Amino acid sequence: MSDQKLSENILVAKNIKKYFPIRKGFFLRHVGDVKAVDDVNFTVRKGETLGLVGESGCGKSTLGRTLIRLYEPTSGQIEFEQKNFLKASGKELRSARKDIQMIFQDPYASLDPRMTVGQIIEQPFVIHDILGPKERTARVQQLLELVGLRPSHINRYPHEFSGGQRQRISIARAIALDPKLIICDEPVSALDVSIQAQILNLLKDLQERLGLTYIFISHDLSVIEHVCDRVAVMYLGRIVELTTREELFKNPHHPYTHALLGSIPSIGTGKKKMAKILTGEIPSPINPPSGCSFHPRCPYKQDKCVTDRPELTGEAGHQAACHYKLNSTTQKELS
Amino acid sequence: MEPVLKVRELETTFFLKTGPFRAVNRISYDIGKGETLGIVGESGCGKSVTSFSLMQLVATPGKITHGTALLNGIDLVQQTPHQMESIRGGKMAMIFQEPMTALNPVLTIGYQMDEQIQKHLKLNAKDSRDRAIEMLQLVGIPSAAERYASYPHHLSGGMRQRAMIAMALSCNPIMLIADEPTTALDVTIQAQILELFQSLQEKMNMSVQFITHDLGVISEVSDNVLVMYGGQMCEKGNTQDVLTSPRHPYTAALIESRPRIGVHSNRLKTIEGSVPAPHELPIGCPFATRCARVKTECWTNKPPMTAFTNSSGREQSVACFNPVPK
Repeated sequence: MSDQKLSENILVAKNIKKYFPIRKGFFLRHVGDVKAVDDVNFTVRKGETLGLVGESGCGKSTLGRTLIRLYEPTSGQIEFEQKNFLKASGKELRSARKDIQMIFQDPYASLDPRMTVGQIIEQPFVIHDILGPKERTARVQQLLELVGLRPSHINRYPHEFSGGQRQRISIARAIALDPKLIICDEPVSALDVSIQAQILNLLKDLQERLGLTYIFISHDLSVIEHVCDRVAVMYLGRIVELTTREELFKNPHHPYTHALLGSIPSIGTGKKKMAKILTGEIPSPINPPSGCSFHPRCPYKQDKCVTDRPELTGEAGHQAACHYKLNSTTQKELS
Repeated sequence: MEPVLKVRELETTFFLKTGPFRAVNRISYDIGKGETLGIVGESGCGKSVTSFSLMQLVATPGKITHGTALLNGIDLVQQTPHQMESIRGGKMAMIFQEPMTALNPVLTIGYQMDEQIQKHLKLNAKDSRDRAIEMLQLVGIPSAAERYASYPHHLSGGMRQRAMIAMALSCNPIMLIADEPTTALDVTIQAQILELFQSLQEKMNMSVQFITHDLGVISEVSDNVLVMYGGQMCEKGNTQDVLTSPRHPYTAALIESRPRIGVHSNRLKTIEGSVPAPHELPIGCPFATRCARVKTECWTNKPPMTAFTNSSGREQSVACFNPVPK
């Protein structure tokens, strides 16, 4: 990847909010909102892999689905290839949707059990009315080979395949229309370790061969570290840290990122007393804490954190939403 | 010292329409007092069926077809269902992966705990309530007295798992089986639960059989490890020895296929193919179809578990004709 290519933005998300209304009573009065995604800004550069990482309920999947308008955002702007994706309708939307595809977590739920593999992978061509029947079959066989399955599998049903093979089928379907951007929502978390490695390698190979851009959603930091160029850490609907992979793992600024990194069990450390681990749980996104939403669990909490909400700031390459960005000196002062 | 749990040649067979399938194939291991044995393997390797067999919870068409499992000298395999009832939840308890399915949704946490405490500890209603609340406090559940009256759906995933642990430990078991207890939890919550687990184990000095697919978790909680594949034992030994110098090609491949933080490589090492279906397992070594070091005899003969003394002077055993060189 050349630097020039990297500097081109494929997707720009500005102030994305996705609130799910809570309605109560006979008249379904609007009593509040679940703020699943709350004012998120980021850009995705052409050819890179941007990771979205966080714990369950942090809004990473909602954000992924909002980006391809499976959910309509409550407010905000999405620019895809310099065009306003949210205003697109009819033909324009269809053509944009061809360029953005999605791979889901559970390959048992995302494939129709009554369709053959051939029919599943053919669907994108049917929907967008591309190619004749014969060419479609040929293309499907080609795609099967590309993802490491046999072309002869075309008439089999999803239940005849293992989890890893099913995920390969979902990948074949996602790349069928030569998309530019693929949103991978936890594509390997339902798979065994040895199969996980195969799928991660496949995704990397395809990225190189087809020049794809990925938004990679995962809760697993070791997977994120393996596949991503840049990473956004999310907590309670907001991005709390956004930086390159190297920076995030060597020099994390946000206390939450610190805690996440410290919680990963690793080989070789032995039976040990765990270091500073987080107390408490993720608060409800219906009524998030005042100020910094992480403050009730933060080991470095100061008075300011309870009242003022920190914005995502910092130099272009490394942004964090924290009043006291952690480094070796501030860490000592604060604790 | 005599081990608390002594399993010898345990075999559990499922009698399927396609023929008998040995989900657990002649497994032997010991767990000493206060010791944790980790059992690791991928889905379908038989690690959960091993635990269910010990608890006599294997459902038809499954059946224990061979072997013994001595818990302090009592053979669990030979117990009648009635005798087993007094062991399960008492001397030997189990924690499951998904607390939402393991707990009864229509009964309060307290009711479910009382049921067990009254049966095994023979306490009256008031004492058992005190005991239950004491246990809930012990596992770090805030306002335990209120939570005693809560239903499982009132609690978050992490809190439910804590309640499960409180329940399992309420009758002072000497042996605890934990089946993927943290797999459904987030990393920060997982770290909390694992820490709680270790401190409680030390306090109560119980033996634990810890089942997981996560090598990182195994490394942090267990003293010894047993690696399983296709219902059979591959490798057994001290956890750090096995994880740092694995001799079985499967163990080695499993460790290498894991993405690791700090070791950035462009491609991950993979294990080719996938776990064969039950009726497709080779006659010889179950790993033969995917092994990089396979030899002709692997296809026809089952490699026996062979013990040797490793570089740290401890015993390690491996079932392989062509083990990874040291």
